[in-house]
Amino acid sequence: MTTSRTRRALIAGGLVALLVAAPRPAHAYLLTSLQNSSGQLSPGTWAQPPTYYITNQGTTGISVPALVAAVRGGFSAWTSVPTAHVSVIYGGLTTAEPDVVDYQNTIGFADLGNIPGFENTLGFTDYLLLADGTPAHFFETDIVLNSAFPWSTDPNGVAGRFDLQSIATHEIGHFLGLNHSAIGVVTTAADGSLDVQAKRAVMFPIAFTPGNVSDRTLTPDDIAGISVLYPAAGFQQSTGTISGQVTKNGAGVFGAQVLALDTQTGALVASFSLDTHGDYTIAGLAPGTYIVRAEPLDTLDVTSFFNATDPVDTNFQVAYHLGPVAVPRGANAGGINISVVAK
Amino acid sequence: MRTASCVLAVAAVLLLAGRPAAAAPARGRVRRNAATPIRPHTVEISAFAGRFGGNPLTAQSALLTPNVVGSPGVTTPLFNVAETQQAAASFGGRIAYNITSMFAVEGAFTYSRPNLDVAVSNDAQAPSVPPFTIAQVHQIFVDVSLIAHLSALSFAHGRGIPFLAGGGGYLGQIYLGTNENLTGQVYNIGGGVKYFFGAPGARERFGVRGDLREYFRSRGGDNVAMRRSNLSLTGSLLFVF
Repeated sequence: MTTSRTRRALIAGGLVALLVAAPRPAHAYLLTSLQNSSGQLSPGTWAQPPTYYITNQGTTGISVPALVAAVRGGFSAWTSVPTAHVSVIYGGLTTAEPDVVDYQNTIGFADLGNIPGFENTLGFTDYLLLADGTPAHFFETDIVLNSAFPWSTDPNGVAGRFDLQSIATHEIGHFLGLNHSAIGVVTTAADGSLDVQAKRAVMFPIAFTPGNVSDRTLTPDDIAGISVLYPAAGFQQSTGTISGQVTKNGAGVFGAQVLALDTQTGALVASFSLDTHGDYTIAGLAPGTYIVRAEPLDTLDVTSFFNATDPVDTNFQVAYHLGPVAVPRGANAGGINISVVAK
Repeated sequence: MRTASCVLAVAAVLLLAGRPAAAAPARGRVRRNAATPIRPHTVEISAFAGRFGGNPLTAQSALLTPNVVGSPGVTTPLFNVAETQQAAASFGGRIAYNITSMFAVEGAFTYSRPNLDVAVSNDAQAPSVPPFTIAQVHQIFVDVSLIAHLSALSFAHGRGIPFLAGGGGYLGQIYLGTNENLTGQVYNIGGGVKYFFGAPGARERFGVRGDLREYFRSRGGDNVAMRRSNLSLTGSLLFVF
């Protein structure tokens, strides 16, 4: 049994942040996981519906009722997914601060503007995860929203202000156990920072520009991810998976993004190869035919997805699986291998 | 374009069929009717093989939401996919009941196994992706058609007779590997020629038959209401009794 109880372990092992115009592009849902005592990756979920509290402190332009409405709206996006069974409890307002280990799930503002490394962070989620089996279980998760940025709760967005509900929706995805997705495209600015050109996942690690409210609405990738974590009755029987290997010169590629496009609906769902064999699995797919494409995490900050010590290979060209990919209902389309070549 | 020309050809045949029947002298009409190989209240069975034509399917794109403000619903593609159902061999059987010497009702079963090929384009990170097969499909039609024999255009001393056909029915498509039966409707219009062997007056005769049909499919694996058309050419062996 592994338990992270110290403050240091909490931050080092369990923090995911949403950034503004800093590093990354790309695809997929990834699950927040911890290695259990037998060395297997255990995705983290809530064993019981979590109770969350919201701090009774707003920020410039955001009253406490507006904060509560935005956060509850963010939770509603996830709890209303029909293929997932997500249940949470709103415990009310609290005077507690977020990002403090107190065994209470607290959501609220804090000024991160003067904290080195957080200058570009709109919000982050930290968590305590108990890896006592599969799945691992959260027992505290806090969400911190950076009051150093200008915010808005206007459903139409306000120029120059970030949409609070969009950012809350992203952080709540982390609260529930999703890690970052990489379905998107970024460009690198002259100063080295990254700008989002387009994306297709609320769980993408970089936010849209101020005034954009698109991330209030979940995408197929987000929906597949949450449905795999908290499947509604019949979900696993009604969907299928794609699995295979990404290889380069015969060796497995770690950390390749593998994207599946449903040729009937256009839904995009993606995942990553998660070991040195290049093995990947994309779950929660509607039955049908798919285009499968592998892409390197070459323009993103790899540490938004993996540990810095993971042997992520970003030196390969985009490649497709040049053959049939038919996902059956309730079963796996295996052997969907993709051979990539170095740049 | 192909659909339009086929419909025009069918219309032209209809005009030709109607004109001589109305204007021909009585003696000529009697002679031709006597020579028609189609006898009322007979049954015709046939087995056929042929080629079921290909057609483009719905284009699909991997769409992203661009980072713009105030333009909800706007998307930008990561890459585009053009899907094509390839031509394939088709096989099947028909059974028809000749109500009169002119009209028959015919049921048919048709099987084909086309490939679905895709072409990926507009991928900035993969500029040249070769076309490839994304799926193989078991495709069946079970349909009913009305046959109009054009006795006025019979030839070879009544052994040969052109006909027009049109009908509709059930479309079933199983994509290999998915085990999903994707159903829809199929409609056809076209025509062909029958040629009978044996004595002209015999009730039981063998023959051969050629069909050219334009098929319009709705739903099925395309999952679109838009009709798709495929030109089908078949040759048959038939027996009428």
